[in-house]
Amino acid sequence: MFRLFRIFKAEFRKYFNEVKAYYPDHIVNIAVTYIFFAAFFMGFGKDSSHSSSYYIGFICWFFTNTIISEASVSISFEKQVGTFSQLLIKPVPIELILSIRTFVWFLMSLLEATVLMIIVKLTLPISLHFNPAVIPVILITLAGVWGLGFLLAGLTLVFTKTASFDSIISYTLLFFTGSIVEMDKLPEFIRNMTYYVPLALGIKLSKNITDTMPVSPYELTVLVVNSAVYLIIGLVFFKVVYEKSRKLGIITHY
Amino acid sequence: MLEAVKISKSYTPHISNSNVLNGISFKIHSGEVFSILGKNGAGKSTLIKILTTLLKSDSGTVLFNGKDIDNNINAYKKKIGVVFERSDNLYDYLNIRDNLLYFGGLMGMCSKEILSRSETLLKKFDLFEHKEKTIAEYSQGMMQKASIITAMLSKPELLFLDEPTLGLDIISKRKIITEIKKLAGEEGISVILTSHQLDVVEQVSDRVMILSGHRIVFLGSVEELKRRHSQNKYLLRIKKENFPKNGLSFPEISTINENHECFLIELFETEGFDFNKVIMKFMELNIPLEGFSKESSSLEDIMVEYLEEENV
Repeated sequence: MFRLFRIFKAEFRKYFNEVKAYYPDHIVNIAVTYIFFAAFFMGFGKDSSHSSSYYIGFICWFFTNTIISEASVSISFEKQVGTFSQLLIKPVPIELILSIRTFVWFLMSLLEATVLMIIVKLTLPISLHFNPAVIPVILITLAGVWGLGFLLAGLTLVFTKTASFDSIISYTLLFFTGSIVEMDKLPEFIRNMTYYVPLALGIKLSKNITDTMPVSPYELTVLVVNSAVYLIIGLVFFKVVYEKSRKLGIITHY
Repeated sequence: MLEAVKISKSYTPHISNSNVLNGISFKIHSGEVFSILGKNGAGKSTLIKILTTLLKSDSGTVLFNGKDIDNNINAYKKKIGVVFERSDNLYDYLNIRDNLLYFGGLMGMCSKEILSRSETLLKKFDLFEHKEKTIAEYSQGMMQKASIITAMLSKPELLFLDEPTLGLDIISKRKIITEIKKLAGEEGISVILTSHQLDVVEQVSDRVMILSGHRIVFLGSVEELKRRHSQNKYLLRIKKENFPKNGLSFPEISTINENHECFLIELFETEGFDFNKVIMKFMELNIPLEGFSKESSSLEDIMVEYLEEENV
């Protein structure tokens, strides 16, 4: 436990040092996210056809982006600068280092999103209804997304540059999971896939909770199973690719 | 301490005879500096990658204190420190202190322990005054020292140094050589070194292993290598005006070069060579010698000759 805490602390400190070193980029990034949030909330929040939970899907997708891409971006960057070899020889499984790093970035995204939503609410005429009961549902949903992050990280071990893979997964999830387009407006076969796509069911349940609609235990169970399956598939895929890359000698190639 | 048993590796196993390493076995003892030598493509990097767990061998095992490293991989990784070639071992946007706090954290060390150990190492390697600079602001030598400090942070039992003195000035090189010797001698750390700078290898190594043709062609001390393969060399100087117009054609002469005032004649001490007889020949021809010197082969001369002999 102490060991985990030390790795977490090391990653947290590194995150802040990185922000300090490249602060202009981070400031611009926060400004862009504010514009993005404002445009989305103004665009959808003013539309009377949307319920009070209109923003939940977009926020879930925002966190999904961080979780899916962090591990693969890290591997690609570390391979490029040469420090990936140093991470691989440390007495901690690489998937644990990547998981802790992703968790740190997720916490920072959560902080950023919370602060920005408060600023957006204070500076623009919009309403954001929040029900704390959505937190566990979102966390369970994001655990499944973490599995997708491992899948992408595995591909990055082999192909090194996978930004386009990241984009296609991210935009597919944005469109087909109810993040911005309401599920009832999508074709039936996509609606039927809801139970199988990692983000869709979580968004649906989170919206129901926010709109004080009932959530069945069955649906919650399906969400937990769905997320667990994606997480396990992602992790197993990453481990298999890692061992294969170690055998082929391509693990540190850039 | 570390034992490689029948290690084989091929990057293209579907092609026959494509092994980069072909069933090699050796042992590295505690507290020794062990150098791995060989031409480019001889398999040195592949071997280092296998020994540092970055690469998996096709067959054979690596034992650390009698245990297979693949079955105890994290325990083994706790005992090693590695400096990879080209100094890309650290985050260049961080200073050395923050790099040490990060990598030490991954090794499971607490901040207090990291900072205390860092201070000792930074002072030892003359980087204490530069601890607030980012790695990007360091010179090549400082980067190399910073990489060694990071590898040394968790007090490893095995330290892998891949070309540790590449691109360094004489002072930095000498400092690193001194520190490598101290690590092995005083702290009992086993150092596994690869370098193309054979003067460095000669100064620090207890034993050398030469890889050629994907196998070990020599394993022993530098002295043993020299004893087996060294050749004495004589260098005679003759003033240009005294050099015979029709040249010299003694069988003992290896090469003749000239500088602005002398001809330099190189003779190798081969079997049956008698230096006195050569001097007599010059006297018989009335060729006055300006002077002569005797030199022993350097490790570099031996390596060149050795690898040529191995027909590689």
